[in-house]
Amino acid sequence: MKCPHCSGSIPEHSRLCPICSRDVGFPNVREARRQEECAALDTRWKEVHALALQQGRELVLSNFETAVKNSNAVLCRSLGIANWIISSGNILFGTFWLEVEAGIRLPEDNVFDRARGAVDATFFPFYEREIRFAALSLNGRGPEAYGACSIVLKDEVIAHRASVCDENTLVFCRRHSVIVGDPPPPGFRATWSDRCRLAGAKLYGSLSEHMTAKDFPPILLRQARATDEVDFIEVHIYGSMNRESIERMLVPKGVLDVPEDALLVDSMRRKLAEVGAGLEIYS
Amino acid sequence: MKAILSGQAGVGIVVDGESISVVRVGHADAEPCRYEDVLWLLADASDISEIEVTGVDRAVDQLKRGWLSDRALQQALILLDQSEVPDIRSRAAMLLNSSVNQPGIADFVLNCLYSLRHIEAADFDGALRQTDETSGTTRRLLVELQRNRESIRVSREEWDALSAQLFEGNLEGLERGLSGRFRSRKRALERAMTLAGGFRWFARALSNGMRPDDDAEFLQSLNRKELADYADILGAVIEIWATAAEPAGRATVTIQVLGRPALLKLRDCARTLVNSLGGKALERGTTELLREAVEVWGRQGAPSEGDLGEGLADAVRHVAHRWLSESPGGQENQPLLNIWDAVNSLPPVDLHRLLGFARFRIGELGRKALGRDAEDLLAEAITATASGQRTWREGIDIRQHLYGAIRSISNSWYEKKGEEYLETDLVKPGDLSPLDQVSTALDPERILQAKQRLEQIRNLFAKDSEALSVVELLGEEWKPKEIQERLGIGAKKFDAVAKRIRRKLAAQGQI
Repeated sequence: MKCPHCSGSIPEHSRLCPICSRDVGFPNVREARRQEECAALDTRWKEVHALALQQGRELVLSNFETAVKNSNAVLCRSLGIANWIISSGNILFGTFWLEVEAGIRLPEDNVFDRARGAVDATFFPFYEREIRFAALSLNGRGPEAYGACSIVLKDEVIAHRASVCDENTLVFCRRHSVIVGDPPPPGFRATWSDRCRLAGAKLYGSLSEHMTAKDFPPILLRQARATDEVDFIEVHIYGSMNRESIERMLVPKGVLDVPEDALLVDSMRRKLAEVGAGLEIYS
Repeated sequence: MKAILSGQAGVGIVVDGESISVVRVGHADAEPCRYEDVLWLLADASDISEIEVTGVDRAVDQLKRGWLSDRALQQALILLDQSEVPDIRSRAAMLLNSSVNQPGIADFVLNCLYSLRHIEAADFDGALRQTDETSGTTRRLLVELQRNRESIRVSREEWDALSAQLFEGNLEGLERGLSGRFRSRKRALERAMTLAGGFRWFARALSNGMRPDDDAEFLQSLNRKELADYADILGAVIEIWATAAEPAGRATVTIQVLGRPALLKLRDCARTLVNSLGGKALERGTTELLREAVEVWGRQGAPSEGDLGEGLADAVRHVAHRWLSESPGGQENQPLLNIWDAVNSLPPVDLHRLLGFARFRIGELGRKALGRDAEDLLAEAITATASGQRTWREGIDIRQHLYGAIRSISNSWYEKKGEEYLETDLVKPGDLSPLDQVSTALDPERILQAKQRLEQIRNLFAKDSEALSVVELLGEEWKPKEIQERLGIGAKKFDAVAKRIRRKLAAQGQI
């Protein structure tokens, strides 16, 4: 890629041009905007729309895509971690890397790192530590198999630095047999503003003719008790987040049955109010 | 079989060969999971540990224990949080009270709270109010932490200040390209040190006035298995940490960042206080005062860098006051020390203005300053005030007082009232007092002025030999008749010459 200001060559992972030091954008967003990516996604999207037209489901597909335009990025954490995350503005969250590294006696050559390394080399070469992961959601509920508390991020603090991928990148690499060092197949990534096109292209097959807006959330994010049955569009956010990045949190009513968790929920409500965020309980 | 556990997340990953499953708190059974899910399940957890287990049941037990420990810690933090609503704090106290009575939980909570950042913000009094007589363990825990809070703060701050390079140890990891893991080794050791009780025993040793690496209990905590992986760096880290945290070391290290002007000001402050103490310093000097002040300051907890000079100056004044109060009849001189306090507390800009005013007054004095300069005049004003010769009235700003003192002292110099000292202060037994000497004392200024004036008159009558001779003899205090006889002139002639002299002197303004 060439710098739009000085025409110098920019490494894939850079945020600043190494020649003129001007901001050249977030590398994950740049990748999603690459012409090859956009063209491949456009092809997929046109194909499903043509199919929808043919099958008489164009309206429900359009309605679904319109709904996804208002979707949020959501992380799921356990209550204990969620409470810790919002206990101070100094705590940055969302990365998979640092805390695992800080864990004691974790084997250096463990299978998790190996899997992660393959994905990072494919999707985020040299800037993997800057990427935070979330899931796309229509009702504020994230993939609860990973944690009872859904943390909804403010659109305005991530929209400019977020990109989306068809699914969990680890699963994606396995499913598509991506070889380390090769680029992922194009057409499965999109910018934040194009997330509705990616969702339409991916999930048209799950839509049925008479579906309405209330039916869409479980289509976009398939909840399951077992983690291997969960499916969602993965959001990649470049850079740090703290509690002021949170719009609201959602926790299931069931957690209130455990006194220790009920205490945390009440404390979290107060802490969230300090940063103008809310806490919702759902059945 | 091994398990990777996080009590904070309430999740454990059980790895048995190629098989992997997840266990959760509140669920007896393990669920299958993918490697791809592990990082999602443990994301943001800060208490991940790996243990060998004999079966899933054992992993579940350990997980539950970790979860209970984490919840107890969070309850303690809620209880100590002043901004939390009373009802929630009260519930936290109740839950904590039942948690800490379970084996190992109280120790875990204590170990973690001893490594807490910003312990000074913890509301111990409020937390204790939320507990009652049934909360024995919780109360003991809170009271112990409150008693050691200052040592906890110092331990934590000095740990945070340790350079990350200290934790690098050998460089094999870097060579293997694990630089990221290396950067977090300090954090990993901190976690291990916390769990082993290292922070707890370190702070306790400080509270007991011990150097931690001389304390048996702290050294014993370092033998825990959690710290086994850090043997290559532990010795160096502990020595530097302990040196930095002990009061003298802490103060000495901090003083090194003071600039030379601040150090000089501090020394001057100590010197003036020692001078004002006089014999009540009991032969201790500026060095002793400074040394003691540094120790006091270190024990109190050195402040942030921005307050270094001021904090040390306060400690110097504090020690000087103590010396005074400990000396026989020392309290009588307390007001004088207060004056030094006030003067020493003057900001540089005020001292500069006072010096400017003194310079102006010295300029007005001209030769009558007798070689004394503005700094002498300002020093005289301060010394006269501190010695009690000039009274600083209560309610008057010290600056206004010093302006007045400068004005008054410079006036007295102009009027030749003499120095602002007590006459008796200057008389040794058997010597004459200044008053005794006044009639015969040679005033160098008067001699100088007389000589200058005589020279001017000589020049005035250089072309009038008769007049010049009369002037010379008058200057030598000859009487008119003696002059007439000496010069061989009659009375009329003498009167004529004298009239000429008077007219010329009058014309030149000399009389």
